[in-house]
Amino acid sequence: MEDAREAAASPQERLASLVKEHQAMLLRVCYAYLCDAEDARDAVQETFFKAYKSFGGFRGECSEKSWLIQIARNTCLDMRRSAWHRRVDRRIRAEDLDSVAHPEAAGEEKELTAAILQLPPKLKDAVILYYFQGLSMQETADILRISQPSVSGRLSRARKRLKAFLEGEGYDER
Amino acid sequence: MSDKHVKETIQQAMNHTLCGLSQDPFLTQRVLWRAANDKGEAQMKKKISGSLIFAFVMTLLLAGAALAITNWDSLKQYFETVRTMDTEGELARWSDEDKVSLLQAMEEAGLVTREDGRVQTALDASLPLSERGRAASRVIAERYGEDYFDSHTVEQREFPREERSPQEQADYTQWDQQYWSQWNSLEKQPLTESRIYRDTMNHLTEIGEFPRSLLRDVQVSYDFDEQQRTYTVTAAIKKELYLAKRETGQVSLFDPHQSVGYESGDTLCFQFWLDEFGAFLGIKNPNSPQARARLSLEEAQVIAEKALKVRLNVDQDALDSLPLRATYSESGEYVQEEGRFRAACTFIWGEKGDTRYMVDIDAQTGRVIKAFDWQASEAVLEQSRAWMAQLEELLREAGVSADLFNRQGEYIWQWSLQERAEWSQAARPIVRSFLDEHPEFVRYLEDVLASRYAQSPSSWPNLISLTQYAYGLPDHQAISQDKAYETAREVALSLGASRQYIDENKNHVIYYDVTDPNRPLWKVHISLIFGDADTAHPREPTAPLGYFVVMDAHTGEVLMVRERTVNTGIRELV
Repeated sequence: MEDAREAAASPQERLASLVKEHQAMLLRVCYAYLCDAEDARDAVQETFFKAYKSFGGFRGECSEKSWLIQIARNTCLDMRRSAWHRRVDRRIRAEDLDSVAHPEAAGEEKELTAAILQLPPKLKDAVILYYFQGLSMQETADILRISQPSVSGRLSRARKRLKAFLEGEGYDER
Repeated sequence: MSDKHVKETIQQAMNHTLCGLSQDPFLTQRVLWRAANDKGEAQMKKKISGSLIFAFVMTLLLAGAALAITNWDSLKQYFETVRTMDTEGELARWSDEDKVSLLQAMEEAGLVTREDGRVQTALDASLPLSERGRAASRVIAERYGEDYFDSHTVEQREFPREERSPQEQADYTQWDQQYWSQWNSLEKQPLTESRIYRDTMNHLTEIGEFPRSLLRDVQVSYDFDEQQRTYTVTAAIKKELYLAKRETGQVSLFDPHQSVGYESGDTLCFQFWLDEFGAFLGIKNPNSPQARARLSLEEAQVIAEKALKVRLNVDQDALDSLPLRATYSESGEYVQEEGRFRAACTFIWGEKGDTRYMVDIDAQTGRVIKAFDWQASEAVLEQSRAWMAQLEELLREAGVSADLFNRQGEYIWQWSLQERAEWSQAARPIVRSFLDEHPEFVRYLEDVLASRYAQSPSSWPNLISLTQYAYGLPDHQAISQDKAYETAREVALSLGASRQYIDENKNHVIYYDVTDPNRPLWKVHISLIFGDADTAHPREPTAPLGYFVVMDAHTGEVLMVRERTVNTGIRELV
């Protein structure tokens, strides 16, 4: 039923539907990569633009969400690699997140988020895709172009680095 | 905290923290407008504050000065060195040789000079390598950071895109394209020994935190499968070296929970597959059913087809007319001493969603674990449900619990001896009589035990299991219930059961079996099962789930002891 509806929709209608459904999610993902709200909004616009231009290329081999996240990630990596981006101090502290946080977000939640945003790129990448966006191990491995055990290894290392923030929840390495 | 809990915690924290990011209500229109006016180049707007503009201008001036004293040719040479070194990763993982090599290239490109004492030390071949590596590390970290950098980082740092003239940009693009075109052709060349070694080192650092100091002690060997055109590469390290490092908490590769390494004599090994050109195909998990198999799927298929012919009279033509799926899997048989399910070769004939025949072959011995007709199993299962419904109705009509719950909502395991005796005296004659009148139901129950259907032997209905024997109350000659329990407890302890686990478990069950009135039996099931989430009693995969002890009720003599495993059905514990 969903496929039939998509097939019947015009590209413009499909874009509107994608924006409505995924804009908020992509904003958070792009912010996680770029640590800057303005850059994140630019990246989201760029993501939808690329998606719109390649509607015909999406063959349904992965979920739509996974496809968009993949485009957003590549867009963010391109932006992050730019010399401009490298010159700006992107180190995030928990208090820096006040401008984008829910008023009732707990201090521990902001600290955990800040800790994730400060992870080394490879580890942050895996955490964003697998833990934050809930992609499967296989989807994460496909996007990162590494094996599943490598994803697992990166997640394990990330958890160790985040241990202090997760331990408040009773995290157990076993 | 489980993986699921980590996921939920992170999602909640990040969604809460980042939900204030304001959305663009006109995003769809903007994208459509851009698409309509697109000339093939992405336009990214940038908002630049005054102080950033100042910083930017200063950087441009400084970088311009740097470019004036370098030239593209020397930079090109340097970039090629960096790309070829494949230096991606954290600096801490580099070898001293790599650090010194990179610094050497930096000096040749004019990026550092020997006027810096650290550079002088790093490039002085008469000094110990460790000292040179330390000096090089300080210079490199100062320039590119300690955490992570790759060739892209280096190129942007030394030759920022924004500062290139159109000609420089054209030169850079041409060089970049040439480099990748050569790299692609390199990748398609058959692997050499040195590339196998380098790939192994890369994968070792990728999968676990495996320090360079240990990499030097890793022995690499490989086999090439001519038919599959794949390499099986084995990396091995002496166990004592690995364990000595592990005490410092620095390495995690052979963490049993990641299950990628295995022990072989005094070494720890890890295996992965590469195709003939070096593409990474996967890690050989020593615990996977495939890794444990001794039979190939082709060998097992012959046995599976024969089993269907002998057991179910299925001819080859019928099988050939159906699509076949063959895979290695874990069978339903639990191997207690290994603490895992038996590896099997599984064959499924039929369309997806419409399975016809299924066979499980022991992947090590070739024994037929199961071979059945799925459609026949489904049909007989329906029939068995109808028989059970009839039987339960008979019990209810007689005012006897059919669902094995009492009026207090307790299941039969929690009942007193008295309650169970009363239930048994009323229910058993009804059930026995029903079975006598339905021999086809009895045959079905026997066939299930013989694995002739998809249903597992442990799927026998508890009502049938619990009416195999007659339960009653101890006579004056019998040893006491407490004495019977104590005897069973001692038996379990003598067989290695944990005293704590026995004494903290409240789910032991005691039966007084009067099936033979002249020789009543005490039957005690010592239960060692706790919930999965019970961290005080973690499950030991190789330990029994309990002990079933049968003794002469009058003398207390132990007549039979059965270890309960995952495979043990309730009908064996009553």
